[in-house]
Amino acid sequence: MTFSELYQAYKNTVYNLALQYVGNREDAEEITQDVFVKVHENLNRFRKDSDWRTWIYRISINHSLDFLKAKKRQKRSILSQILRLDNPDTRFEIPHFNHPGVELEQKETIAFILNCLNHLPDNQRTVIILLKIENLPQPEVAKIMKTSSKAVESLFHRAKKNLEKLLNGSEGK
Amino acid sequence: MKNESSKNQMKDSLEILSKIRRAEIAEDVFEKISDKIRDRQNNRIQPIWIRVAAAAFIGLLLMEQYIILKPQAQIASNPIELLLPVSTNSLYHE
Repeated sequence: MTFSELYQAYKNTVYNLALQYVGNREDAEEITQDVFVKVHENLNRFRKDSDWRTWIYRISINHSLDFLKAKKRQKRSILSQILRLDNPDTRFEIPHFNHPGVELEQKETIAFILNCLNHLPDNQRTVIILLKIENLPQPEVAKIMKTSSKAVESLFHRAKKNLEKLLNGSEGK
Repeated sequence: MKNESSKNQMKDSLEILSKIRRAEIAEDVFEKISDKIRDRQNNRIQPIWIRVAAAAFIGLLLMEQYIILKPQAQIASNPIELLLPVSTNSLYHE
């Protein structure tokens, strides 16, 4: 498979996955660009026994998580550290929610749910995104996350419980 | 009762998430990616220059080692060094 064929086949997969993590078009486009630059650099090193789709999913997930961590670090300037010290509500908020796949009337609700998702540990957030938003089957999620189907199931169960707590906790405030 | 309602709310939230539509990426992104790849290739240092720099560095290290560990006899045999006055660093002669 050539690079441009790969791009045509997976451009929207990468873009949509990045959108579920960052919640806005500009950042998702930036992530997509960086993911494909990485793909281009590692094309020769790619092991033929694993499949492209899983490989690209993994790169996209890792890059999206790294992107969010870098953004968070950027935000924590000395001043904001003093002002927002240990205020969990302001630490993980999506700065400007601009998701092209979300209807206007549901924008607020989805922004709120995705914000709550951002409070979950990385693997729990990823399992909800892959299973519920990307609608991938459990065995494929297990393959992407390099774990067993059973582990994915229990991870999803834990993620659901934690999300439920967050949704209720945030609503009560 | 509260537990039941929060479970329903959770179910609703996951259902809402599954309704997020697929979005299409902008057409010009491929060009931007190509530019980034080209920039990276231009900024990358050729392996031959890395080898040249490494060889020069090792050469310098070896030369320094040679100067430090040079045998005393070799230094003494240098005719210019024989002409230089040798200081004993003593202030008084007894």
